[in-house]
Parts: sequence; C-alpha cells; structure tokens
Amino acid sequence: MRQPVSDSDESGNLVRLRPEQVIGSLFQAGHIRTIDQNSNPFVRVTKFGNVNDFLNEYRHIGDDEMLQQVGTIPQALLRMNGRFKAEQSKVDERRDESVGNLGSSSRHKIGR
Amino acid sequence: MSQLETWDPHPGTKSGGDVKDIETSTKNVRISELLPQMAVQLHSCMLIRSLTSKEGDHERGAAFVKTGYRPEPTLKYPTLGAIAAHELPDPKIEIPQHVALASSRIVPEGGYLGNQWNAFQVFQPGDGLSNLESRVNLERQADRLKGLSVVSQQFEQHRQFGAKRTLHQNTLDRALEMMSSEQLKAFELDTESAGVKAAYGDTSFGRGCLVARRLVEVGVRSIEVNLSGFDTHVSNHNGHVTQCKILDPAIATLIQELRERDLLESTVVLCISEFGRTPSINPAGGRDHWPNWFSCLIAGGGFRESTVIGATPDRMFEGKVDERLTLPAEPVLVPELYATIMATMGIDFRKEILTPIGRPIHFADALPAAYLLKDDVARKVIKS
Repeated sequence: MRQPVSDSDESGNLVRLRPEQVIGSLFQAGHIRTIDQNSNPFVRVTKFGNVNDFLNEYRHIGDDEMLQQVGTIPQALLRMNGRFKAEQSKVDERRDESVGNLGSSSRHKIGR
Repeated sequence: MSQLETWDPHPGTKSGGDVKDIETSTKNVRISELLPQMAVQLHSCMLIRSLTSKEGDHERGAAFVKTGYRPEPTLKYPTLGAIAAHELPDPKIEIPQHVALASSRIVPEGGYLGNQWNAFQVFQPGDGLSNLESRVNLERQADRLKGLSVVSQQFEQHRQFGAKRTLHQNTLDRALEMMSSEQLKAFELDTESAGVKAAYGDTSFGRGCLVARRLVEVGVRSIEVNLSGFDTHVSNHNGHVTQCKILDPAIATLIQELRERDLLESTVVLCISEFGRTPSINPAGGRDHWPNWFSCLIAGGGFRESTVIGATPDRMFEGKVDERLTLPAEPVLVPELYATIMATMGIDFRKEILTPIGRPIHFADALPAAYLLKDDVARKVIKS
C-alpha cells in the first residue's frame, strides 16, 4: 500500500488538473450516483453540453494547462460563481440524482 | 494598421494611396485626414515613424510588440503589461493590475513570470463582468468556504511545499477580494454621462478606452485595449476609413481626459500595431504586411511632446528588393522603446530573471533611448 507522500519526496511536483478533470469532478460532485456510461442518457447528454461550454471558457481564461502553471483568478471565479456550478447545486425536483435535492431536505430536517 | 493611412501619410506619391493629410496642433507635422480629433491632440504626443521589426506574421508580430522579444519555441516572454504589474505592485489595488479590454483571443501573458500575471480579460467593456457575483447568499458562501478550507488543509497536510507553489489559496483569496471590492466599479460606465460616452464613441473600443481611463484613476498598472480589423489586404483605404472612425475619437478623448485629470504625466499611452502595411498597393486595393517600418504614437509618461521621430522617404518600395531592405531615418527598435518605457516607469529594465527552465533573461532586450524622453526625465533615467 502506498504511504502518504511527504514534503521531502514529493518535491512540490503536484500535477495540475486538466480542465476536463475539473469539470468532470464538478459534475460528479453534483450527483448522488456515479455518472458513467450506464447513466441515464439524459444525464449523459446534459454532461456533454455542460462540459463543452465549461471547457471553452475555462481553457480560454487559463492558457495552456500543459505548462503546469498556476490557475488564474477568472478560473477561480468561474469555479465559484459560474452558471454550471449554480445549476449543479440547485434544488431540482425533476432530477432525483441531484445533490441539490439532498441539501434541500437536509436543511429542511435541521430547520434552516 | 497602415502607417500611410494614419500617422505617416504621403499624399500625392505613388505609395500614398487615396488618403490626404491635415494640419495638427504640432507645427509642421501633418497626419492622415482620417484622424481629425487626434490632429487636435497631437501637441501632447510623440510620433515614431521609424519603428522596425522583422516579424511579418500576425501572431509573431503581436508577440514581438507585446513583449519586446522575438518569439521562440522554448520560452514564453512576459508582455510589457505583465512586467509592469509584476514589478510595481500596489497593495491598495484589489482588482487585477493587468487588464485587457475588448480583448482579442491572444491573451497578454505573464510568460515566464507565471500565468497569474496574465491580463484579466474583459471581452465587452462596460457590459459588466462575468462570474463576479456570488449566486448564493453570504451565509451559504461562508459555509462553502469553510468546507473548502477543510478539504484544502487536508490536502496540504502532506504536501505543504507543493501546495504553496500552486498558489491555489492565493488565487482564491484574490478572487474573493475582487468580488467584494468597491474598485470593481471602475469597470462600469453607469456613472459616466452620455456626453462622455459619446465622445469616446459607441463602440467596444471606445467603451474600452473609457474603462481604461477609469482603471487608470483607480491605479491599475497596465491596461490593453484591443482594436482589430486593420488587416486590410483588400480595400485598404475603405478599411482604414472605417477603423479610424473608431480609433480617432476614442484615443483622442482618452488623452484629453487623462491630461485634464493630471494623469497624463504619470501614464504612458501607447498606440501600436504588430507591424505596418506595404508602401505598395496590391491589385485588390489592399496593403499587405510590412514590418520594415511602421509608426506608433506615445503620449504622457515623460515622453517628449510635439515631436516626431524618424522619417520614411516619399519614394518608397516600388518592387525593388534593395528598397525593401532600406531602413527609415532614425530607426527605433521595439525593445529599445520598451526599455525606455520601463525606465520612465521606474522598472529596472536590466533586472535579470531566472526563468523556469534556468535561463537568465533581462526584462528588456535593449537599452533605453533617452532622446525619446523630456530632458529632465532623461537625466533621471541616465542617472539611475
């Protein structure tokens, strides 16, 4: 089993996520079930459209991900406040897989 | 941009085309009739009619005039704007210090300084900024940030050195600071009168120049406003008639307003294109790429006023190779101009930076040309 990496042996060589990985993580985080080739076709089509929109914007404001440079402020703003993030986390009764629905019921239960 | 239809007209010559020249507020200096408002402001400016370059391709030419270095595959050089933002940080500024307005798809980059120095791009100046408003209330935003902090701390626990190098937290902090900053209003034009907006012109470039003036007032270090559409391989004259109607009011009003606000001496306004256009007119009535000599306009920042540097001959390239190779009188190199701008801004142009691949590079690839500066400013530059 691999031991946790220490400062001394990882030498700071973290690998930056590719934009596809960023959007993939965001999309998955908005769903209760794993999104893969067995998912509902509607979910997969939605993912395809959202991913392309996000990638266009994210790549454009962040230059070449292969250079392993740091992220940019517009990228951080897009991750925090972008349309995609809002849609993924909102309450949507039509999507029973949405994490937003779970959050809504949790808040309801604890009286917030 | 064609020098012959703008800053360096040669009416009545074979190369001159259909453009006529007009008097300006600088004695004995005439510019294109397509720039009547700039003709009034020219006494605040210096014209260089003898810039030279060897880059006749759009992308390479743009990289050269943005960085002062010819592009090469092994290293990305920072633009002049990125260097200014990097070298002259102002802790009072909560918004990006390097901004590109009406931005083209070519980002003014931080190059070897890192892409945290890339320009903050605004594609539609005056139309608000994207993704700056939180879509949840303050309480929920705070909850989210707390959650993020837990995850981040856990991630950093065994990767302290590497995590710091990503500047992830720093970028996030700057984004959050920007979201709540009053200085963001500099990007908005709601408080500007209809008269001022009309003076700059109801165009993306005009609004960009107006936002640029507002950003200068806040203290943003470098602002680029982009105007495309000068690639006039066909119908060059008509193309410049259209483009100059956009360029002329915007840049003239910008210079006038900066002067009225006593900001012109502390600001360098540079109007430059990636290369010039051929003295010869092609069969489609267009002019092609011509880096051998072209013009730029500079105002403020200690540069000489009412001055013209360099000259191009009336009898220009007519198809003979030896004339193509002729340099204009008093040639000025782009790196030389940028070293001068850095020197007058108080940036150490000789500073050597060790790039990520271990190459030591100076900020400027030349020495300043002191003769471009006013005498008192030149003396200071030479002393330093």
